[in-house]
Amino acid sequence: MNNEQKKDLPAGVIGEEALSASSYWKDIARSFCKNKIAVVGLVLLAVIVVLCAGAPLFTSYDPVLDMNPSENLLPPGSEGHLLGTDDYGRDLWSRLLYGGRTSMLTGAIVAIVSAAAGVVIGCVSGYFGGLLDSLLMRFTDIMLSFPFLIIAIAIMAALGASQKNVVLALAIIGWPGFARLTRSQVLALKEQEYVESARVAGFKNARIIFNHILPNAMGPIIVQLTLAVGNAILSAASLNFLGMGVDSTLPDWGVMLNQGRNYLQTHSYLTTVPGIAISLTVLAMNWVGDGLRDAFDPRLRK
Amino acid sequence: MRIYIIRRLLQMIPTLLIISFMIFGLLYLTPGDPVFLMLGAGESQSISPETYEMVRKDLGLDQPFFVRYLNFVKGAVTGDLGESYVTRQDVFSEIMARMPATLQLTFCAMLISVLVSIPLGILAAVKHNSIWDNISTFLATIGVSLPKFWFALVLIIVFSLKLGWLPSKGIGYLEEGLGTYLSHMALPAISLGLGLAATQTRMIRSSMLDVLGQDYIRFARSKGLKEKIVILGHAMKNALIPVVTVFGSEVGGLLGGAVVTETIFAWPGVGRLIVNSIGKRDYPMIQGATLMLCTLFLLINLLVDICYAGLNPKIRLEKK
Repeated sequence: MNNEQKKDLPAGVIGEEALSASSYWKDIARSFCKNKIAVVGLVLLAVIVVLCAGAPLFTSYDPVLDMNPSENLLPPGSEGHLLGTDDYGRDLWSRLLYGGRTSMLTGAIVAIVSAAAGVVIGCVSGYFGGLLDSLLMRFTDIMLSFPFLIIAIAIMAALGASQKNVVLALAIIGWPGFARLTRSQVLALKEQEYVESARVAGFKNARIIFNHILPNAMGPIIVQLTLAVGNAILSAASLNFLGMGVDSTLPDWGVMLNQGRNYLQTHSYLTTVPGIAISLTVLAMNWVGDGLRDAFDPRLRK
Repeated sequence: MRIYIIRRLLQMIPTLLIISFMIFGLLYLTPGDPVFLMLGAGESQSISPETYEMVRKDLGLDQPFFVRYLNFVKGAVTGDLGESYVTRQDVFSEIMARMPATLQLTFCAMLISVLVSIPLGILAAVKHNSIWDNISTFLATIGVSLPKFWFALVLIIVFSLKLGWLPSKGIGYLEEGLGTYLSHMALPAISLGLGLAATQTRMIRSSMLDVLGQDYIRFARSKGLKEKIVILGHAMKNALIPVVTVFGSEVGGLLGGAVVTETIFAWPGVGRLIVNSIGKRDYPMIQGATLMLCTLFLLINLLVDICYAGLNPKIRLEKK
């Protein structure tokens, strides 16, 4: 909202400023912090993000270029290589950290893109209703009725393997869930009196949707977003594992698993290490998501 | 009830049309000339213009996009999905030859999931906030977070490579004896089924918790009914209804997971066929197999919904 609008509408009259939003979020944060598992998840996630984002600080090896054939397939705990080396003699710890960047970035972008698309479609559908709503929701339902990984694989087969296409394929499958969720929230909220009064005050539809309805619908959307990041990491790992995802020279957890597969018998740590990394990240994400869900649930919040 | 089933069958038609259009459209946009793929030649190699035109006409590639799509749909309805670029075999019969393997794997995974999730979910809800609840919730959250294909690899490392108990590759046929059949089925079905079981356990637990708080449960207890009867007779039936509805869509995840599982365990099913065909750029095969898996998914969903309608008197007794 810009300053001009503030001038002709005194604060506190319509309700945008009257309700103290800060105490609501403080309540959520307080109830989230009471949930031990959720806090553990958040801390775990923070550690993983810091390690991966600051990868150059925690390792001196390049994940792709530092090949050393004379030191290949060293087991974890070898001198100079905390987690050992892969078949090209590259440091596994370094590949793990840089790989986390690819995996988590992919997960986050997929979740944000699907959420953005789904929220816009859900808002339009729920707020305006009518024929547009019927058409959009029929389409959403059909999209939801696809076996998603199979469609993702078909999309990847058509578009070709690249990180951009992984994001695109997973976002195409991801948005309908957000659209359904947002629509149901908007439907419930648009009948509320404060929305009615905003409409009477002559506010534009866009302003009512973004300033009045959406902030109150954010809770479930944030929860869904958190869980979607974890799911996207898992799906992207599946695609990369099948060799249909990112360029196999990029360090990525799914790609690492695919490479480690050839050494199951002799060097199983090449498979277990990236797998544990994916599992821990997604587990932390799910714990945070579950904690947020409980925190946003007024029935559970005291 | 019959009208309900017919209505649901009719509703499948637009969904299938959109799926087939998406898949057909996607593969249409793919770079690469099908004629060269069909002739198994690189584009640099010289193919006489006559041969090129002949194959092009033969494949129907000289026609506009929508005519080709309509022909594809017309063929699909009669079970003709074209022929493979690579093996020149009929796509439909190739897929149907692999369908039983996929169906068996999916069915065993579903069975495992049901056998694990129902007792665990109910136990967690009945002993709410106890150590049992915490353990089963913890296990379920871990199960949801593990990449299923990685879990499959870990199972291979432990049970095939280290302990040598179970085979890590291929399918065992019933003719070779039940032992061979089950030992080959064990690892793929467990790795696929436990993932689904994790999701299901969480759902059954919360649904059961909801039901246990209802008045009729309190009434049943105050009547002095045995706790066992209250839980297994009254609560479970109602708690499973919402779980059944979601079960159908979970099968979609199962079929998607089967693609990866089949690849890992060299399981001769439709999923592995898709992955192999993508490697060979065999587009008619990718198109056909994807469409068939989507159809299978819709049919399973329909079946689940019919069971649901049978469970739910609101729909069962509907006159219309």
